Amino acid sequence: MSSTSVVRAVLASPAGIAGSLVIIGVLAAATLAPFLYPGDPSDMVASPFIWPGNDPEFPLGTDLMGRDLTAGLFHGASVSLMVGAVAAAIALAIGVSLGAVAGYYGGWMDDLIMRITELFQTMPAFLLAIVMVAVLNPSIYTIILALGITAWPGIARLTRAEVLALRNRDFVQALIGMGMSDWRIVLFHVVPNALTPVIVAASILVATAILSEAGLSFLGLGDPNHVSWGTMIGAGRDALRTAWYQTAIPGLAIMITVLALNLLGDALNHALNPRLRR
Amino acid sequence: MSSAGQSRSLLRYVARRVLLAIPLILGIIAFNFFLLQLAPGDLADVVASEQGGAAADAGYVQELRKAFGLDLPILLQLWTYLKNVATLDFGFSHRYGIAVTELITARLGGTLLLAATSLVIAVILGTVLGLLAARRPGGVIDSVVSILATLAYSAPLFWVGLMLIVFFGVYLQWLPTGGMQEVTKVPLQGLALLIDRLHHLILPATTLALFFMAIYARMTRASMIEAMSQDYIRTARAKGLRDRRIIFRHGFRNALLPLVTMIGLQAGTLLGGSVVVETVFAWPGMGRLAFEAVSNRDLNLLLSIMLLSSFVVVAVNLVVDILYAWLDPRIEVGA
Repeated sequence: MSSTSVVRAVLASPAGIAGSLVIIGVLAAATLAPFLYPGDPSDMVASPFIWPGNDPEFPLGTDLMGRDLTAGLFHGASVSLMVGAVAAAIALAIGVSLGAVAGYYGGWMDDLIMRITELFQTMPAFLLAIVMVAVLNPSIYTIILALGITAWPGIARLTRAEVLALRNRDFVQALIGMGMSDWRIVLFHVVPNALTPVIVAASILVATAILSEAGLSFLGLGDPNHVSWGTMIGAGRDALRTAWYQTAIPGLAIMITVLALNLLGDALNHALNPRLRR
Repeated sequence: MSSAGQSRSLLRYVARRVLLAIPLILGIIAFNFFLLQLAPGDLADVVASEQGGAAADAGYVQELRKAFGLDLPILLQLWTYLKNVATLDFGFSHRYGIAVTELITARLGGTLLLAATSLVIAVILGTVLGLLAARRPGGVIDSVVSILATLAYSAPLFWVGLMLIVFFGVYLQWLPTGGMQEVTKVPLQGLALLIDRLHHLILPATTLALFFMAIYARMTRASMIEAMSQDYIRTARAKGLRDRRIIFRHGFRNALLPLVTMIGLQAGTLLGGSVVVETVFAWPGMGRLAFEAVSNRDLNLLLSIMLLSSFVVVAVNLVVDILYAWLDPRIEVGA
C-alpha cells in the first residue's frame, strides 16, 4: 500500500481527521512557541491567580507565581512532543532490531533475546522509569532514555512474530540462495515487510510516552530547565482548592493530544490492517 | 484422560512454571543491582555526607566503604546482594534510619487494599459496560461506551484524580480528599471504621480503576461479539434457550478467558499507576513510599520497592497461568 493511499484511508474516517488535525495543531503550537512567546515561560510576568478569560493579554490566566499559562502551554507542547517522539523512536529502534534478530536467527539467540524481553516486561514499566530517572538524575535526556528503554518489549515481540512468519517465505529463501548477506536481507527485505503493525503501535507508543513524561514531571522528576505540561499540573496542584483551572488546563492539553494520537492509531490500524478493512 | 492423570499433569505444569520463574527473578535482582551502580557516588559517600564534615575525610570514607563491603569485587558484591534478597533483606534506608523491609511491610497493606479494590471495580464495571456495548454493536450504548473508554485511557491518571478531588472533595464535599482515615475524630471502631475506610477508598480506587475499566470494556465487547458469532451460540438459539441464559452461560463464559490473561499482564501497570494515585490522595502505600524515596534520593529504598513489585508481577502471572490452565482444559498443560 503506497503512503498516499494510507493517508487517504486515514483521512476517510472522522477519527482519523480529528486526530490528524489536533496533532497538526499541537505541532504548530510547538513551532510557534518561541515566536509568539519569546522568553522563558517560567518567568513571572503578571499578578498571580488571574482566572482564564479575565485579562485579554493572558487568555488562559496566570498561575500562583504569576506565570502566563498560555505561554507555558505553547512551550510545553514542544517538550511533550519531543519527549514522546524521541522516546518512541528509541523504543522502536531497540524493539525492531532485537525482534528482527530473534525472529530471523531463532535458536539460542532467540531464546536469549526473548528472556531479556520477558525480564523487561516483568518489571513494572512506570516504576522502572521512575527508578532510572532518579538514579541517573532528572533531565530531559534521562527521561527520554528511561521511557525509551521501558517501552521496547512490546515492539520486540510484535516484530519477532512478523519476522518469524516472513523468514520462511519464498522471497527470503530466494535471497538466501542468492548469497545475500543476512544483515542486508533483514534490513532491506524482512523488516520493511514486517513494519505495518509496528507503525500502528508507534502512535500508541508516543501517546504512552507523553503520559509517562507527565507522570514523571508531576512526581518532581521532570527537567527543572524545561516547562512541560506535567510540571504545570504539579505546580497548579498547590493551588488546587482555590484555582483549579491551573491544574485543569495543562491536563486537558495532555488528554486531547493523547486522545488524538490514540484516534490516529485506530485509524492507521483500520487503514493498514486488511483483516479489519471492509 | 482420568481426572487423577489430569491433576497430575496440572501439577507438573505448575512445577515447570515455578522453575521458569526462578531465572527471571535472578535476572531482575541482578539488573537492579547494576542499575544502582550507575548512580553517582556510593553508599559510603551518602553516609559520610550525611554526617557533615566527615565527608571531606577521605580516610573515613574509605573505612566506611570497607565496612559496607564496597571494596570487594563487583561480582562478590552481587552475590552478597542476591543472598540478602533471598532472605528478604533489602538493606537499610539511610534517610529513615531503619530497614527497608520494615518500611515496606508497614505500607504494603495500603497498596494491596487499593490495588485489589480498583481491580474489582475495573473488572466488574468494565465487563458490564462491555456486555452492554456488545448487545448491539454500533448502537447508541456501544458508541457511548467506546467514547468513554477512549477518553479514559487518554487522560493522565493523576490528573483525573486531582479533578475528582476538586469536584467531589472541594466543590460537593461528599468525599474526603486524601489519607486513609479520619484523623480528627476519636479513634473509630467496628462498623464506623469500615465505613470511614470505604469512604476514603472511593476516590483513589476509582481513579486507579478508570484506565483498566476502559480496557476491560473494550476487550469484553470484542470477545463477546466474537463468542456470540460462534456455532455453539447458534446451536443454543436453535434449542430455544432464553437470551439471558445464552449470553451468560454460553457467550460470557467463553469471553472470560482473555480477560483473565489481561489481569495478569496489567498487574505491573497497576503497581506503577499506584505511585501517582497514592501521591495525589496521600494514600499510605508503597507508591507514596516510592515518591518519598524519590524526593529523598533514597535509591536503595526505591530499588527495593521496584524489586518487590516485580516479584508481585511474577507471582500474579504464575497464578493467572495456572488459573487459565484450570479454567480451560483444552490448554496443553503438558506442553
